Amino acid sequence: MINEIIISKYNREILFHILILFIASTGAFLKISNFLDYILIISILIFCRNKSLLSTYYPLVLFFWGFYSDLLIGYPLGYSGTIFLFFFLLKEVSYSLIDNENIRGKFYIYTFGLFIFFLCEYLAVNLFFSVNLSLFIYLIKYALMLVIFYPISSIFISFENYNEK
Amino acid sequence: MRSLENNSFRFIKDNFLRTTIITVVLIILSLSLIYFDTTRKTFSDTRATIRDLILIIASTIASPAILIEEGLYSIGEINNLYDELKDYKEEQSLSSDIFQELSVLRQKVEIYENDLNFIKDNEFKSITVEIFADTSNRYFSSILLKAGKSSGVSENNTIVSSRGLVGRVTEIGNKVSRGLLLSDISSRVPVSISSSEIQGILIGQNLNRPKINYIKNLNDIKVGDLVVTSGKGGIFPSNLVVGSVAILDKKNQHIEVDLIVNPKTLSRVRIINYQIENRLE
Repeated sequence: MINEIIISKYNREILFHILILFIASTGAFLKISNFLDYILIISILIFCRNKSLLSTYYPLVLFFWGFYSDLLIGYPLGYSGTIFLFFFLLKEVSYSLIDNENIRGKFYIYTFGLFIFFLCEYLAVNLFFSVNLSLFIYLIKYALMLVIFYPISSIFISFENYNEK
Repeated sequence: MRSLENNSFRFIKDNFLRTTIITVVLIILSLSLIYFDTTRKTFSDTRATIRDLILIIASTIASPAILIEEGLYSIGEINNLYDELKDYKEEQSLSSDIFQELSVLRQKVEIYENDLNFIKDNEFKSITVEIFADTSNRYFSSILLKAGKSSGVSENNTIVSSRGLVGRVTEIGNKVSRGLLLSDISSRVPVSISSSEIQGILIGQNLNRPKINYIKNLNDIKVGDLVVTSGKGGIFPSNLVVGSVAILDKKNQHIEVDLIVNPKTLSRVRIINYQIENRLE
């Protein structure tokens, strides 16, 4: 019974969106650590995912999940959507460079993406809000994402690949 | 869904291009939305209505996680109970003296205010509300409060705890509203420091301590000086305790403040209906 649910690709598509819904909802209420960013955890899942059945509608759905997260957490509208779509775009680009099972390659591309994202965000916060946030705190947050990238992506990719067969 | 999938296999290159274009357009749209939302606070009513609905869904989904968190918190609280009881017993002997002293001071202030014919500005209507969730994150520090329009809450109402200022109300739904905390990077509060009433603006820095900008004279300020609201701008009442000066760098004109209230320890807050236009009516 459970196997059937996991194997079906349509159910897998639904499960993926339920997972995003669960992480975004839990992130608003559960505070494990200030350094653990639920939006970036979702971004890892988006980055590690194989092709979606929703095809060209997939970015629109991610845009919608961004709205959901922004309204819930209180970010400016469009903030989470930008992150989700940025990592989706990065995934699409990475497809033409490496295959999906190459976790190390994915890790390097994700690190590069995270670095670009970090630069943009740091500049935006400094310019728009005139606030100098501690670089140390920034780096801890991003380093934590890199640490959890490997376990999350290996579980996620092996799960996806197992069910592809 | 099946036809979409077939399309993606048949026209793989076109599909890749189409998806990329859509994604780039949506990213541009998202960035424009961020800009408009931070500068103009658009669609606030629609946003509040949708958020009320989303909160019901989200709190239901997150309820197992909330239950676990509350359980762990309770275990931690039981652990702290013995130490807290010990502290409480020590404080109790002091508090009766402080209470006496405060009563005398309050009487004196009332006498002086009457003698000077001073307009009393510190009596506000307030309601006590429960904190629904602490949605503080990387740069944005806010809490969700279980009170909205139906309870008479309006935008920019002041949020306080028994110790001092917590923040202000920024978004209002029917039954839930959002409170912006002092540590949020978009929070700006006019404050005055020490008895010499040096004026400045308290700016949130999220996980760091908030800083005070636009101060003309730093010579009269010392570490440990009390920081209170100045009342300028008409959003916050004057003389609400904000915190104390923690870091003072006179050379670089830099001051950081230790906030008196830690929102993480709060479960309820008071919302004060203070706005200068209401006071002047």
